[in-house]
Amino acid sequence: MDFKELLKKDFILMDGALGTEIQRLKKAEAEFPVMLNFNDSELIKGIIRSYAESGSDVVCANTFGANRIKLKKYEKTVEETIKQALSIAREACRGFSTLIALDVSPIGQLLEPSGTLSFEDAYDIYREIMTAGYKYGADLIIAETMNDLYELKAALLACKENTPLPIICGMTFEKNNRTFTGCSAASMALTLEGLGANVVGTNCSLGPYELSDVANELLRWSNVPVMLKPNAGLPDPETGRFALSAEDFASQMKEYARKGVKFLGGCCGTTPEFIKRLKESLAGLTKADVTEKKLYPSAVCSYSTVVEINQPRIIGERINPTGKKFFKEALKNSDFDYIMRQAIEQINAGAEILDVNVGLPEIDEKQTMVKAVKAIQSVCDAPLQIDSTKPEVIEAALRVYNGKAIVNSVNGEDETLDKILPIVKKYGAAVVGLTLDKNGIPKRSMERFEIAEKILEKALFYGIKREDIYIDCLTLTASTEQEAVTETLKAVRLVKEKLGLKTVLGVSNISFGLPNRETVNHTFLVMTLANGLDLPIMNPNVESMTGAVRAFRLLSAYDKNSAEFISAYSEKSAQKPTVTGVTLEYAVSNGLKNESVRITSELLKAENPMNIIAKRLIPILDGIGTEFEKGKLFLPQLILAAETAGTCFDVIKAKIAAEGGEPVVKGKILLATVKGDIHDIGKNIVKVLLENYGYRVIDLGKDVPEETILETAKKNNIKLIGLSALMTTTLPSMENTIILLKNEIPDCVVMVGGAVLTAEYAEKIGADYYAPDAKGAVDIAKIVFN
Amino acid sequence: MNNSYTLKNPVLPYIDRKDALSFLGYRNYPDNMPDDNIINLLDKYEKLLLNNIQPRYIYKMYVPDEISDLLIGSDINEHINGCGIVMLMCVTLGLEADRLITKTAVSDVAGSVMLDALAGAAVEQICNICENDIKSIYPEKTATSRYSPGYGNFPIELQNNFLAKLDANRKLGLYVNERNIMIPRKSVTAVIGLNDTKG
Repeated sequence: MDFKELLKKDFILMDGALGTEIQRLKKAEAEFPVMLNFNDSELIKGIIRSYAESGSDVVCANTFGANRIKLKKYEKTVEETIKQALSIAREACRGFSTLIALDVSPIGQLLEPSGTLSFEDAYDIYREIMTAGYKYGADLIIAETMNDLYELKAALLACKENTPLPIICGMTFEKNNRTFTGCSAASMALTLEGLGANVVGTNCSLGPYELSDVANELLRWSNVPVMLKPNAGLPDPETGRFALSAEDFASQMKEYARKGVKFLGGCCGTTPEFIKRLKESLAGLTKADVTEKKLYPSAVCSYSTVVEINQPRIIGERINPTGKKFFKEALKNSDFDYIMRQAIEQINAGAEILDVNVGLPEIDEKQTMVKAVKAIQSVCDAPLQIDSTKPEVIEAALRVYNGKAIVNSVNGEDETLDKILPIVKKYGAAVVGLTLDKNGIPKRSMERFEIAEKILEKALFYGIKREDIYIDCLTLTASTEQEAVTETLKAVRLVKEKLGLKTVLGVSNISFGLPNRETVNHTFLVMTLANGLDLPIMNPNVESMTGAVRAFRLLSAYDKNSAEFISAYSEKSAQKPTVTGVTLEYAVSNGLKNESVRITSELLKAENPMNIIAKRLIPILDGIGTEFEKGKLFLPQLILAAETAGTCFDVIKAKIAAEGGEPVVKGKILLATVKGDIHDIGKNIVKVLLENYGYRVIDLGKDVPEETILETAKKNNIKLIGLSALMTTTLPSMENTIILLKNEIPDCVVMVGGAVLTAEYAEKIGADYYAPDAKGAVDIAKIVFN
Repeated sequence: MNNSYTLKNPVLPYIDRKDALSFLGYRNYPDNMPDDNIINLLDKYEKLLLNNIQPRYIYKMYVPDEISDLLIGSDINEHINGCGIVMLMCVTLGLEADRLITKTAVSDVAGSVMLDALAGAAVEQICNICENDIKSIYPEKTATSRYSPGYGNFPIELQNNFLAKLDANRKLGLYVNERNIMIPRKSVTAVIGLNDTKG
């Protein structure tokens, strides 16, 4: 019997719990059950055998938790543990046609961005496990009790890239129908299926009854078989025993079998008896009883949010350096905060998907794209559209993306199709096809349609579903190609009606070179929507554009009862009464951003920008800083004032840039929280203050290795470095960093700060300055740069 | 000892403002009061935080001998001296709190600092709720105060073992990294002893 054979059955019986069975039989909790493969193999063999006897088609070897992190303290290798476990399982199942699964658990550490384990390291840990499983004869892999979709992706890729084994993926959901990291069943199904999961499902935490929403969601969103391995109900708070009997469990599970769940088993609290009863209850049931046919949805997702393309959806275009001076600067300076701010701003304005383009000749696009994707997905829940035509950039981005993305783009040329479509297929993404080829953009709609047909054919050939193919019929500029506008609209209609594919268009290009661009863009957007456009790529910060999409959704009855439209517009948040007639000092000190900006703009009409900074803003900040040191005002006000001063600086910078001047930078400062420490609030406060005093800050973030600090300092010719640490255990790391810096770049000044530091200790570890607080850091900067 | 555990998802109706203010540096309350602007912002962030967090806690009961591998160092043993029962408790606000603070910090550092202080106050409140829950099991006994790994000579390196005993990875979604930092960050582990002395 192999997995393919197994799939022909109507229902596949998995096993029940191992952990709670061990506990029941030993009358004690085993600290690390995997060790019983060595210390009590007979016990394990007995339990597995009893599942085989009870009718399990698939049993798990006792390998849950067998990874290099957890095995370290027991001084066993992953390979020897898995070898032993699989051999016991095989012995146990001798005489039965039961398949043996390598049971893979979460690593036991959280992945980035919340945790400190990198995606790449997680992959490596799983690769070791998967290869051992394959080597020692597992028939399949089950990665279960997973909380984090990102971690599960690492496991899945490790399986698919290093073994030919099929893999079952199970996540654990809480009562709110999410995993602890916020993953939904729909996101899970969409993402994992595209990556090649053979079965998707859920196990643990809840009983069959509590899992009904999750089961339904999995069945709705998945085209591969679904697995359900619930606990034996919920534990009784008094006794700790699981509530459900074997009969009740079986009858609840039978209902799920009727709905279409194909892989059925049990988790904590279930026993061989449970499996026996389950088998009996499924005996009469055939696939014929199992309901309906599924439609494959057109959808993309992040780990938590699914965007179904069943109505027009806004793709935000702003993360793109073309024509954006500040964005180009940000990319060159590795200022990912800027990118994250752009992302959040677009989402708040109504974007549902974000296009991400970091193509700039002066930078390493692949590295920057990976960092950008990781940064954006750490603060944003919207699905991303990877905007690049370089296969290596696309692949790197898709690999680290936590969800199902869109790739923008391929076109009609065979070369791009053959290079990029396989990558799209491998990572389960959707793909945008531009209707142009080496002959350029065809004039007539029919010709663009024909390229669309070619793209569709090629994509299907590579195994991509038609629901994941979006066609971009191309927007030319109306001022130079006026006739082309109707051709674009015709092409969109043709693709929609004749090929049934979703359509995409960048709408901002249309008005290039014309006055009153907003009106032209807006009208064109409405025309495209009326002709069947699904995905406008646009600037969501322009209210008339976002408004048009919302109104269109209402008028086309997508927005039932106009609910979303009403909620977007009826609640205008209570306008704070506009304060006028105050001084700049008052406005900055009180965090009145709008008023500060207004006053600054007024001042710029009469005064020299540098004067405003030196004679007004800096003294205001100094004054606030002094009040802070005196204990007259406190941290939130200090930061607010600094941020408000920042908005004034932005206005001044824009004026200087508009006049062709270079922004004046008082000095560059490098900030980092040292390796091993992830506390960064203090550092962030220092950054806000320094930036708003006019220094350029390069922020390397947290947990930064000393070599990275050194490299960046050298590369950017840094004269002042600020190091922060908030834990006594990371002080040695700070000391080592300073030693390295003093050896390699002795002219560079080092200041240190953080709650665990004192002036004495700072001196002891070789720092040049100690900053007791954020204001102190500013004072040091003033000294150093004078 | 019956090692059943108690796992709860308490609802926090408000956050202790005084506590949050002291995290922000406003000591000697009410002598040092924030101005209206800050108060309004704190109101806004408190509401935002409460709408987004999923607080949860777990505790388990032991006799000291059962967890001698965890009760290391003179300080903790002094703390629970004479206690026949020892409770291990673990509290978290969940990842949503971390995410909210990180996301806010991108464009609003003042906001992230306020959220951080509010979250700090919130986790202390959940600890108090958990502690009261524990005390209500044996109202006739006296409970010690909470004592956490990292205090005195109670090694912080024990966090891993502590979480393992409570199966915190699986039950609370709580982890500890190789630097002994718990993630989600707004989390607390603590030991409470119960003894028979009166008042």
